[in-house]
Amino acid sequence: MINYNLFKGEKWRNSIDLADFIKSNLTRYNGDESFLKPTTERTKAIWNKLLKLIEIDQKKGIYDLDVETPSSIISHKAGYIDKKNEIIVGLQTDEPLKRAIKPNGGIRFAQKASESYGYKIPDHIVEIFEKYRKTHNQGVFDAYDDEIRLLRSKHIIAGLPDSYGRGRIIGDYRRVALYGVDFLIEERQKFLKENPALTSVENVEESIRIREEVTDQIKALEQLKEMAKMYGYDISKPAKDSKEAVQWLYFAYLGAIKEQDGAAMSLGRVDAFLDIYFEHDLKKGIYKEEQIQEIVDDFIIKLRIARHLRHPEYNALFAGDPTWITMVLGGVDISGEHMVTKTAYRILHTLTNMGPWSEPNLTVLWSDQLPESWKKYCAKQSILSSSIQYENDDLMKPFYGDDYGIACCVSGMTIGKDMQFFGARANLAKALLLAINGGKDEPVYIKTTFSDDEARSDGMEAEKKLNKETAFDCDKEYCKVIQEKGGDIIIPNLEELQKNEYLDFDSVWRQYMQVLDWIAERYARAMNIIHYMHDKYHYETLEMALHDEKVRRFMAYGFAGLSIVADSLSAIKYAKVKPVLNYDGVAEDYIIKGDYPKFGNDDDRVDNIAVKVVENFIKMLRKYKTYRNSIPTLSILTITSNVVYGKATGSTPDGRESGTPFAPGANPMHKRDSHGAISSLNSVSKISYDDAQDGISNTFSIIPASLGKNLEEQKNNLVNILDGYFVGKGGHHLNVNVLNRETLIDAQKHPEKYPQLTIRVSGYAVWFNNLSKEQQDEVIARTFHDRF
Amino acid sequence: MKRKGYIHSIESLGTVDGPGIRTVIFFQGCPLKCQYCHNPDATLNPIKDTKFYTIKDLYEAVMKNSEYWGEDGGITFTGGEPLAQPDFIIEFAKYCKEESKKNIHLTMDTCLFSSTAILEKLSEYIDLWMISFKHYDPILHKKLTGVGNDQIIKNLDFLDNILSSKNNGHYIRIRYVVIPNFSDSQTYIDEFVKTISNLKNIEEIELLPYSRMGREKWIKIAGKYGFEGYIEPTREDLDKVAKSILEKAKKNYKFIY
Repeated sequence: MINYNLFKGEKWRNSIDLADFIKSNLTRYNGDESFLKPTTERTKAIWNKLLKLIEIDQKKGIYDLDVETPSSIISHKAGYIDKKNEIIVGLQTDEPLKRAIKPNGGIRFAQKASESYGYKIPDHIVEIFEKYRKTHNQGVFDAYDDEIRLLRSKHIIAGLPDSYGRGRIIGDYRRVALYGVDFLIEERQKFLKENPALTSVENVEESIRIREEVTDQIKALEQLKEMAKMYGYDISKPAKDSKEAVQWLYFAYLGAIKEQDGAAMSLGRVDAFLDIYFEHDLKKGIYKEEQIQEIVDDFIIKLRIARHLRHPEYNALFAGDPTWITMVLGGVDISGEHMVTKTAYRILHTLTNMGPWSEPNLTVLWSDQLPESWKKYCAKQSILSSSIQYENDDLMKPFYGDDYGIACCVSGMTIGKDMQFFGARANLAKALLLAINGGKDEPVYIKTTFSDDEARSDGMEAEKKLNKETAFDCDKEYCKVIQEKGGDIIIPNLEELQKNEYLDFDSVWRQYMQVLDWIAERYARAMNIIHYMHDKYHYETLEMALHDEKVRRFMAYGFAGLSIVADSLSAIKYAKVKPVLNYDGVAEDYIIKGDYPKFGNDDDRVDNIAVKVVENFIKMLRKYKTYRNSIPTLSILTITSNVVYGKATGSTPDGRESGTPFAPGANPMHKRDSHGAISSLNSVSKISYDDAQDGISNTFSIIPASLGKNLEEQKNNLVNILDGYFVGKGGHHLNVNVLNRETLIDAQKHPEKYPQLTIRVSGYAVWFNNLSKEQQDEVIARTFHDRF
Repeated sequence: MKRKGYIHSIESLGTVDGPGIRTVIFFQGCPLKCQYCHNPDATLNPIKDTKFYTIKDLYEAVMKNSEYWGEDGGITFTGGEPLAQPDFIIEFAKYCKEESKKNIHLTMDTCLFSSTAILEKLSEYIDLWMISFKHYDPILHKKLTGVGNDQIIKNLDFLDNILSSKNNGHYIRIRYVVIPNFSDSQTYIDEFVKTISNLKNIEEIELLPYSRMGREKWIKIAGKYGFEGYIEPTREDLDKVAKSILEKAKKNYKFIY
């Protein structure tokens, strides 16, 4: 039993200060992985039992769904996988993998999702949310103006969290373990009492809002205690040993995912914190290493089976059913000492003990100062599992200190002190086409190829539709089928540059900047509305209860299409680009004469264009006032929406054909990076993190043989690549996949042979079998670095 | 400094042409005409694919990758045949040492068909000589590459002697091209071992498995592939060759493959 008086440090005792607790009591580990213990029979039995349920979950889309009970912290009674044998307990509903509805985000989203899996939300529940209890989604659409609706329906701004939970908020779940819930409640009550500003008549709305929010937070904390009680635990006081520390922390997280199903529900930074409890108990002889690993394994299992209810269109944006339980590992503190503990190893070791998996989203914070043995262990686990992403600790520390986590894929935030307003992304490739076509939207067609009889009959269908002008250029191989006619004026009073014989760089650039600025203003407007309404109708009471009362907020804008924009502008500048107009006089294709430098080859001529676009776009976004004075930031991250964005975007001047995918995140376009992987990394590393503080996502896929002749060489080389990209070049983020393309092709054909094949996509890991055929194709088509 | 190098391409992530992570410079052109060459685009098509680099430009292009080299990595000269552009390489190697103020690890991947004077000059700069040994038999060597191997073998002795006299840690890795039923018979291996057994600066032997990777390029460029009828060796074939070499050799070479 832990006696907290014996722990070191003072600051954390008097006020909530996890960073101080961790720094005062942390045991740094410089050794290698040889201390790690294998999985126990108990763990194996539980995991194998779950694998069977997961198979059903994957095949049916969802294992089961409770449509009767809108989810809340205390909505469902206790549920177990195997009550006798579980070490860490707690499920989102009364059964493993059974999902729940969370209609506060939007009842239509919940209905659509339920119906797509053959369930129906009962009328009386629908009625509540349609008639008596307004949802976030309803609020947003009540306030949207026509321009925002137009930008949204034209896919120029897409994926906005206006019909579902916004997510990307990380509660400091550790607080529950260290302080117990009662202390957290007392602190909140004290805050309400001791803040005269909250009763002032100056900032009327703000003080009323804060009083309401803090009171809701207190209620959430009370409910959290009640939820734990259903499982037989009293979490009002601090955790008394290792198992309780994990259990308390997990309960806090579980409460959050029962209340919210935001796009990304990340976990934060728990490795060094939990390690303090583990070290204490190991020293006292209360637990042995094998038992500690078993606790970690059991905890990770719980995270692996967290599920939310999504509908198929949502899955097209965020493929593979991700929950983004992102947890960061390792890192270095402000004074330059590393924070790697044995528990960071234990968490990565779960990939060995239970095989690779997509969740939690394991994120290693990379720095020059990390111990060499840790770097090598990370590289090894990456090579064997393709389940890890890396982010530059040295780059983020100046912004967030040394107790920060990552929400979703690449969004940094100080745990318990920062939050963000998630803003999906603008399609900057489409914006470029608007600039070329004088503010009119471009026609979008999809090339349907007929490789087999079935497809050929589709082609016949397309031929039939030819009369309606939806198909053109048909031949035996393929047919171009119009998806969007285009030609509507989105932005008035622009010059029709497409009518020139060749596009002129200066004119296109000038008009593009005008277009971006026009979009930026409306994007800001949309974001303000969305987050105003989310706070009002779908506030994260528990997550915010696990923050400081006063938080720093980021307004997290984003965009897609970086490499297409850079390459298109480079083609216009360095080659000759001739627009091909359709009957309406809008460019539907481009003819490129000559060669041009392409993003991904470490060539400043084009890389500087990419840098400039990012720099200018965030400057424009920063001009506009934001809800709750949030700080505008920008991410270059597509998740898997690069496929969907590509589908909605016509041909671009870089030669990319209409309807085909973008490269993910900030990646260069497939197969255009011809100077090898490092040149490709170098190009991406030129984008300044100051301009894209919400993250610059880069995915790196290499075949094992190209990384070295044996595991030892491969490990060393991967460490050098990571050192080079982060320490040398100041790159921000890297997904690492070490896989053969053939493996993926085979897995596509025979999914049963690869039950746990995991692959990193833009900012998270997915279970390969869970991707659609289209998304799998796109992953396979991606540049694999394979040169000898 | 006005001199320009004829470069086919630069690969920024090389992990199989020398130790660690390397920036690999493919020089254009080669005096040998190996029938199975897997970079025929760098040997046959001299002008079409050539980029011309000044020493400074090449240095700057290469150094963009230097942060990835770690402690083992560096630059590898290959091709084509880098020694076919000796003056450029010597100046470039000198420039690297002077400009970077560091000892950038330089690897020369060569067939060693060159003059002794050039080897002497370069021995000052090249840390690792990777010498690919095609065949001990002069007739088969000529048939395969268009030139005999006597000068190559002489150069090997010469280089070894120079490295011994300089004693500066520079060394040789022999790359033996393993082609089943062409270069893997016991007689050939015995002769190969005899050839290298007196050389003092060989630490490593790399077994290069014959690869048909160049076949498609050959057909595209020259209309046909001149080395039909041979198969790529398996891992077991390479194990066997390594074992045969070790049995004959006086020295305990480190094998790489």
